Amino acid sequence: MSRAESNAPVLWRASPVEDIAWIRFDDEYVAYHRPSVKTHFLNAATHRLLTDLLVEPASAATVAAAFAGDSSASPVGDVEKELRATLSHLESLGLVGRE
Amino acid sequence: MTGAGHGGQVVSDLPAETFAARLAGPGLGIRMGPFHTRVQVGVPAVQAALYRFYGAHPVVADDDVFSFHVKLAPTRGLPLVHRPRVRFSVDGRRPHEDMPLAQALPVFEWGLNLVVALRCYGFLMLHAGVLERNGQAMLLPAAPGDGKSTLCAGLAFRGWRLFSDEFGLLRPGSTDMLPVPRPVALKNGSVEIIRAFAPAADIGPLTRNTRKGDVAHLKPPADAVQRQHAPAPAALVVFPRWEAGAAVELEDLSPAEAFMRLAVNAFNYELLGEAAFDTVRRLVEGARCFSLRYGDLEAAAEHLGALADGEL
Repeated sequence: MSRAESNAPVLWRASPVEDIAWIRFDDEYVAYHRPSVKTHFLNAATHRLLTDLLVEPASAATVAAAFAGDSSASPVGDVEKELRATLSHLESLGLVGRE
Repeated sequence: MTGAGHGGQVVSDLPAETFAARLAGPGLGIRMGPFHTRVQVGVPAVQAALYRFYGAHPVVADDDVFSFHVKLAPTRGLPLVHRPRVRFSVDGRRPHEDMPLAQALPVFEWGLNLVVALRCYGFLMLHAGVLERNGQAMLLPAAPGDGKSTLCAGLAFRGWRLFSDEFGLLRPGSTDMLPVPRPVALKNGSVEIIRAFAPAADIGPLTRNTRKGDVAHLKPPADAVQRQHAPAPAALVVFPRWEAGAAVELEDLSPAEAFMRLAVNAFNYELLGEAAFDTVRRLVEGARCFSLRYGDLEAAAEHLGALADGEL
């Protein structure tokens, strides 16, 4: 049975480590994505998201819970909504994919 | 011998008639920075202008390997039906439609720019003015209309060595800027600004109503051409923007912001791929980066001179 058929949450994974070259400038990051030959400018939160998903694929809800736990500013639901939009955008750039 | 940097023959060593005959006939090799260009021109007014503006440039031997062969020739048409036009071609191909004969000199210079921008992918090419002072290069990356050429022209008469008003050229993996000194295209109000700013400047005739407005060319200083073989490491990256009446404002730019703006500014960033990424990283990490807003050329020149001299 596929993940979709089982109603299991989508697990997101980051692009393989060898696909991206990183430069860090304080709290800003520049990422060169080798397969697409594109350069992206990312903030610290997005860098962390990609790093976390590189260590272990996770659902948006799981990642949102971790992010919300580190910041009491936003409820988990809001973080998850924002995160889903970010993941969708990163997917269109080839920086993340679905398991 | 009037000094080619390597001790060879320069254009002005040739009699003007010989120069014109070579351009009208088999062509003449001229070294422009790293580019060996074979030039054929069938328009007498442009032959005279090139003799004037490229006088200090080294002549390249006929049996040399040329980066490109460029040709500017009048087109044939019925004089009562067609306005006289010129055709620019490179290695036998036309990169654009024929242009009015009255604009022949700007057409030649823009054609050369086009050739470099579209074909010289062995270099990372930034759309930037570049000058050198105290052995260190300053890049002025900018969009058209931001005052890049005017600023370059002005600084060339305030203690800076002109590399280019158009191309920030470097080899991938290096941060040494390569000089490509050629005539500076001054547009519209900039012509009179530079005449007033630098009375010694050698500025050619005004060509009116081109696609970029009225244009006149400034002869590159002889010293800049004689030292065109000498690169300089990039130490300053300044994004200029001219605004009428604005006081000089020089602001630090974060490396990430500078990186982004340089990557967008480059002609061939994505074509070079990771080599360009790595080169821009080296550039940003090795240079101080600023944005500059200015309305007065003299004030801008003073600020940038002080910056290069370590006073800011």
